[in-house]
Amino acid sequence: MLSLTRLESHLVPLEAECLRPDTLASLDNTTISRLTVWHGKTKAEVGDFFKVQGSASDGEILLRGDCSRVKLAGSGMTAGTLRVDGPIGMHTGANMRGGLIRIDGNAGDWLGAEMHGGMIVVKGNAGHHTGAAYRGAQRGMRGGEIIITGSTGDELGSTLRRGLIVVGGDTGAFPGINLLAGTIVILGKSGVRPGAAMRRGSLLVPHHKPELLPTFQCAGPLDSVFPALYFQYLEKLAKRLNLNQTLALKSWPQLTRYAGDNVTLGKGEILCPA
Amino acid sequence: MELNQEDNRSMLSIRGIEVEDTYAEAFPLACARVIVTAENPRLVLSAAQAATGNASSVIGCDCEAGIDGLLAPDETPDGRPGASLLFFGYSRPSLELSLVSRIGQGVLPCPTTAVYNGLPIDPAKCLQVGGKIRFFGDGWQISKLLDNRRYWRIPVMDGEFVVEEVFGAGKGVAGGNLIIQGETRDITLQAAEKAAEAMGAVEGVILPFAHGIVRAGSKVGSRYPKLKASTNQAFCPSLRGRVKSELHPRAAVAYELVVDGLDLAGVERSMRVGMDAAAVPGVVRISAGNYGGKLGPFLIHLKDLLPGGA
Repeated sequence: MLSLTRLESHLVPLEAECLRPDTLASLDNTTISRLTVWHGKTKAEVGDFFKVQGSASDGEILLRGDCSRVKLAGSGMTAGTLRVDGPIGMHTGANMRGGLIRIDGNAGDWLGAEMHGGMIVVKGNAGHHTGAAYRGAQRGMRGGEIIITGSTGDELGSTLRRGLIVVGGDTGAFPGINLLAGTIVILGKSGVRPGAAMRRGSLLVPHHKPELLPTFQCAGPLDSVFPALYFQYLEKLAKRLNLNQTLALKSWPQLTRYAGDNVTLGKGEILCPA
Repeated sequence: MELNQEDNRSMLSIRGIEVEDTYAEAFPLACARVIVTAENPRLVLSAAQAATGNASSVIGCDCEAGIDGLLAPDETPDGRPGASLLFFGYSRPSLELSLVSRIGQGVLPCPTTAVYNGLPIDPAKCLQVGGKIRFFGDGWQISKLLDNRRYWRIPVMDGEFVVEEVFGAGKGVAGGNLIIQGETRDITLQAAEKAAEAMGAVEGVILPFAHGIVRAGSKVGSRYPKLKASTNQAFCPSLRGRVKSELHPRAAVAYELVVDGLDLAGVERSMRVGMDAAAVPGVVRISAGNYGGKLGPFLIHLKDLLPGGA
């Protein structure tokens, strides 16, 4: 495992999209230390900001220290494991296509934005626009899974096309805005106007009745095994990822189906208590 | 091995009951395992019986099918009572058609049911089942991808029918069999029932005929050109003296137990426990049916299934 320890924290963000396990796996530590990062508008090297130890040949990287201003870590990665011991900055795992990012701390905005595959696990909170589409893009996350044990900011899973996002805590406003398909599970409280302009897809909020837009219609209690499949999968996942203590899984009540958003296609659904 | 004094056959035995030194001839068929769940065991059983009905033999049915076993809630994907069903067909395309038709007509209409794949999926050899049944949703169906498996949610009158999109297809083994011959019908039937129960309890096999027992054992072909199979006269007691009989001289009745399995080992295990269960007083010979090695590549020799056999 390659260990990268942040030497000191700066207010100026560090753009470090080279920090991904699949590309570092074939490089020696000297080469890794000389890889380019951008400190604000200044070109710099990895070694200027991180103490490089160990070897990345096993496809595993550990980021240590205060990385809350480190952006784009793990972005576009296709394989391997990126572990973060502490907070991490914006765009982590953006455009990710495979592998695992595990963050023991809080994550910044745009976590897993437009990701295509792989898994991101956050033992902590995440910022705004998790799994979202960048401004102007037609699709957000297109595959993979994001599991957050804490809460998230606004516009969670905006324009989600495929994949699963699970939030153990609460969300900010507009979760699932413009949802195209895929599934978002919110185990805490949903922010206002969930699923605004959603075309298809599912928002499960099993323990909270959010404030719904008037363009959603109640279809009555949902009689389907589909929520049970998700619940069982989450139980399995929590066990596998050792999240039993942090991901609050208590049995789901009977869910009511609200179909919408009828300002668009209207084939989406919000499942929550009546 | 001894010589049977009554008809000069080489003889093996299990607890003193003669076991003929012959073999069952089994053949490969495409197979699928389907998990059906429902709100309660009664509904599970009804759906399972509907889906596996009229599927005793590929000679005259679209597939061979049966209930492998009932499943407890903690053994099913959705935590409800369930059943494991096995289906066997000549080819993957024909098996796919059978599954679509039988799940679509037998399980989908049954209240509260859901259907899942029960075999590993090889993308190059999988069966599109839910992927075809979904069209019943007439555009209102919803797809969900979870843990790399796609499910279809089809709106129905009591909620939603959930079915997995693709099912794994394996190479199964069909045509394992035992022929139990006894002195009276009652004794032979009891022995056959006991054997069928023991054979059916083996995981990964089914006995596709009604009650697991066949009284109409067949041979390949017929004097009537259009018939693919006809009665196996060599085992019909009423034709003794008219045809060359394969029955034990003291046998009044013979029953055949046919077994299909997901693999050869399961079929052999099932036949082994079946022989053991059938070896009761009044049974005079345990035998097996074959076609001289012309039908299938799997020759299951009864002597290898005896205690201490290979």
